[in-house]
Amino acid sequence: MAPGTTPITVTNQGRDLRGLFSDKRRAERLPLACPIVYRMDVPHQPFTGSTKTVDLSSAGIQLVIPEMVSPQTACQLTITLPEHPEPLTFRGRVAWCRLGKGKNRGAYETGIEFSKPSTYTDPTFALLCRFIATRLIRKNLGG
Amino acid sequence: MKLTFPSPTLGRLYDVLPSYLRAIDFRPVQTPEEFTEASHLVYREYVLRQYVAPISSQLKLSTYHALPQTTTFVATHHRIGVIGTICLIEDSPLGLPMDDAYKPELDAKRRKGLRLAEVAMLALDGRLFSHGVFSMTHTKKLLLLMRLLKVVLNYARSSTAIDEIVTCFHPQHQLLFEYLNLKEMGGLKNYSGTNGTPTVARSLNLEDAKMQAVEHPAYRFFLGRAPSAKPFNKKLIFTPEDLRRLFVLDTSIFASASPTELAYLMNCYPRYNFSKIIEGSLPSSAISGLNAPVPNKPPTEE
Repeated sequence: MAPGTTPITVTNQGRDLRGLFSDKRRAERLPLACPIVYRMDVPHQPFTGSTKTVDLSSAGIQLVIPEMVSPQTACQLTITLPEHPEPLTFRGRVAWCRLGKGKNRGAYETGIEFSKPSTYTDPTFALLCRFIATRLIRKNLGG
Repeated sequence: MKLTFPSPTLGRLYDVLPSYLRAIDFRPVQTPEEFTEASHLVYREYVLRQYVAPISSQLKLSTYHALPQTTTFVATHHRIGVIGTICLIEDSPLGLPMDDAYKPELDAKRRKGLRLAEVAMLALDGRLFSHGVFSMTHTKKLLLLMRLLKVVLNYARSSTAIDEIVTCFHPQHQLLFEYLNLKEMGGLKNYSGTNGTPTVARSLNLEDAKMQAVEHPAYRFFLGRAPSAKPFNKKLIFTPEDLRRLFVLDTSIFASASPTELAYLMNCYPRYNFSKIIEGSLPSSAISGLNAPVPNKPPTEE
């Protein structure tokens, strides 16, 4: 066989390895109650409010609000992260909204997906990622 | 089934590791088969990102990999095999791969007497994660990455005389390296080592890094106790047969190498018969001309 043409044999080819980590999420959700001011851009009936997040990730947040909103409703969120006095402002869209149960009965549990940042180095996105990475490292590696 | 044991490089930190990391061993490659698996992983992931063009060998290799002072590290799962890899290439008369784009910046460091090493060939098996997972905000990906970087730093601190680690990467990874406080080193350039894709470069001085451990959670993890060199004693040293298979038969790395590169390689393996290793890949006149003296230091521009 000519040099440079020997076939190689490699293990684990073609195997779906995602089950290895049993986690198909794109981003880690941190259960954090961060103060948040929101504005829901419902056509002709926008409304604002303030509450605390249920959880937070680099992809979006979950919160509980008093009114139902349709998926895809645009929104603006101003979140105050722990140890970061300057609030961060994000734009996003409602991903889902459902009637709350248990302690959230009478309100609406809402998931919001952040709009993708325009550049790799968007400062707001960078700050959020740094915050999340630090939390994950401290939680899992004792750093 | 291969058994796993607590990692000797982590000590009591092993107890706080998430359980999924405990099934993974982080260490230098120990066999040619592992090395091949790592090279194939890099190739596969880099082809997906268009960092390399498809080639028949399906291995991402270069002359630097043949050098004994280059170390390939793997994250190897006890059931699956190699799921992550990273490489540390110490500076030599052949320079570093990223000299191709950042030679002036690297030479400035060399003139200060800094001993450099390049971190390269970082790859995690993309099939482990859903599409679009960002390492900074996904626990398992972040910790896999952190653990790989830690084994590189442990090796650099315990087993080498390296002063500074340098690296270059696609700008989309800038957030991560900025978070790890690596210093900027040269601006945006197109790098032939990654198929002409854009790249930026950063560096980490190991002495400065110690001061970061006070505040930065990642560095508290990276730079705990002084690491032992013992876990790295089983690092793979290529035999003549390994060199021939990987760099002559499986690829044409040695056939494409310059006389200077081959002469330096011969110096690195003084007991190996290089004529036999590269037989058939080069004309005999080229082989006989491989006895030119090789400089001891990396080349710098004055």
